[in-house]
This record gives sequence, structure tokens and C-alpha cells, in this order.
Amino acid sequence: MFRKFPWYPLLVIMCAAAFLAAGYLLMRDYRALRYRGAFQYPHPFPHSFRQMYRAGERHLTRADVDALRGWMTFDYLNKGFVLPQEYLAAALAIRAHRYPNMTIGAFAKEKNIPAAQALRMVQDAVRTYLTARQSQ
Amino acid sequence: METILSSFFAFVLLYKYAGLFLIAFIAALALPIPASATLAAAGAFAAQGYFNIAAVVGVALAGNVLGDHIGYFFARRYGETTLSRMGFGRLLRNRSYRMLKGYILDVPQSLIYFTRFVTEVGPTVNVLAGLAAVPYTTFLFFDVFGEMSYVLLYALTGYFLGSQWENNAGFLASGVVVLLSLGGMIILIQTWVYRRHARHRTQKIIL
Repeated sequence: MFRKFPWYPLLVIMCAAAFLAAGYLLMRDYRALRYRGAFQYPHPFPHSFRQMYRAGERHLTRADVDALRGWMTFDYLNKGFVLPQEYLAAALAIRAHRYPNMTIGAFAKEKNIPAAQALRMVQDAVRTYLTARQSQ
Repeated sequence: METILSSFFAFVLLYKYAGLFLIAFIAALALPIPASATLAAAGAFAAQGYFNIAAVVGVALAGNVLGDHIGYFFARRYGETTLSRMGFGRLLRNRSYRMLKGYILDVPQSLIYFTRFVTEVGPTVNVLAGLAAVPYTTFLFFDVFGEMSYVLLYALTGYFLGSQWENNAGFLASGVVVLLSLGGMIILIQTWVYRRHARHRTQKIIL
């Protein structure tokens, strides 16, 4: 009975159904993203920290700083927020030679503090710099 | 899962293009690691100005193609001899294995192309193509074509979605399901046609 069951047509039908369903979802998401300007170049809405800086917006929103994660490196943060190279090293008293090529998680281990606390310290330091830059 | 992905993102940020190359290479060679998500993240990092998108595509493509080729050539050169010595001689004489080998030799194009999008299965198909001695030009063309499609899909999705790529992962997932289901249909139809021809050939020989 197992051998006589028409597996191939059934599997082809299942693949066709998955193709149609995923195709519909893909077109729906594509239209929504296109409406929001996601596929236009240059991007009509800020797409990167650097783009916002070049556009003259020197104050980044809290959402950008709140989006920082422990896997991000200080080099990435310096370039993304356009920070002076040694600012975070001075603000957070980082002595490691690896800086800025080290993650926020590695910074937490070096200071022997919880990862969440280290992340808050980095966020506060970035916010302080951004606020000072905005007020200039 | 998030911790594993975070480690890969950190690896790419720490070692940049060399890290991206290594992840793409290892995923194509043997290990089922989250290379696709890492590639999308690298595309997003390029949108943020941290990487160059052309370099991301080039490096990821080079890593994937190199990993595929090593698997293919190693299997082609040492495959069956090594497997026999390891005690898999019975597997090599198995009817299912011989049919699979015959199938990939007859219609390798779609199998090689579509399995580039499935990093868990790709390495197995590379080895199978090597064992079956699929012509190198066929393997090269469909491997590069498939890897180029795969790299462009993930890298450019990450690039255009920018810092929002994680929130729009559904868009990427839908695209992958469309490709895989299309590939599944093509491979199933080809397999069905191949098995019918193989049965007819066997019946002709008997008669």
C-alpha cells in the first residue's frame, strides 16, 4: 500500500501550494516595503547612521542607541555613530590593546561586570556624546 | 539560537571580510552553520557604511565556491576508495545509491543549483556530484550560478533593508520558500521522469 501510494504527485502538489503561498506573501511584503521606500536608491529615509550624519542630523534617536547589542564591536559603534576613535576608551576606561576591535561583551568580561550593565554603560556614554554634539 | 547568531555577527565584525569568507567557506564545505543570516547581516552592515557591498558579495561568493569545489574534488579523487576502506563498500553497491548516482549524472543542473540555497544539503550534493563524476564544467557553471543567486539574494536583502533587516526577516523567508518549493517541484518531476526512463531501459534489456 505504501508503494502504490501516489507520493510524487502529492509532493509536487504540496510544493506547488508552498510556492503559491510563499509567492503571495513575498509580493505582499515587497509592496509594503516598496511603499516605505525600502528599494529606492539613494534611500529616501535614513537607512544608516552615517547617512543621517551626512544629512546634518547630529542627534540620533534613542531607538538607535537602544538597539545596541553585546555582540557589537567598539569599532562598529565608532563608525556607525561617527565617534572619535578614543572617546569610548576614555569614557569607559578601557585598557585592552584590542580596542576598538573588541565586543561590548568582551568589555563586560574584562571589567568583570554583568553584560547588561556593560551595555548600559556604553549606551550612556554614546548618548552623552550625541547630546553634547547636538548642543554645539 | 540568538546566542549562536550573535557569536557569528561578532565574528564578522571582529574579523571583517576574512571572517565572512571563513564562515561562507566552512558552511559550503561541511558544517550547517547560519551562514545565510550572517550574510544578510553583512549586507546590513554594508548599508550602514561599515562594509562595501561589492566586497561582501565577492568575498562570500569566493568562500562558497571554494568550499563547494573542495568537497567536489575531494569526493571525485578519493571518494569511493576512501569510503570502501572505511567499511562503506556495501553502501556503494546499494541499489538506491547507484540510482541516486545515475540520477545526478543525468540531471545534475537543477539539483546543484537549488541546493546552493540550502546550506545543510549543499555539501552532501557536492560530495555526491564528485562521487558520480559529474562533468566539471557542468558543476562549475551551476555551482557559480547558484551561489551567485544565493549570495545576491541574502546580501542585497540585508543591504536594502539596512538596519531593519531583522524585523523584515519574513520577506527573506518568503523568498527562500518560493525558490525552494520551485526547486522541489522541478527536482521531483525530474526524478519521476528519470525513474520511468530507468524502468523502461531495464524492461528493454530484459526483453
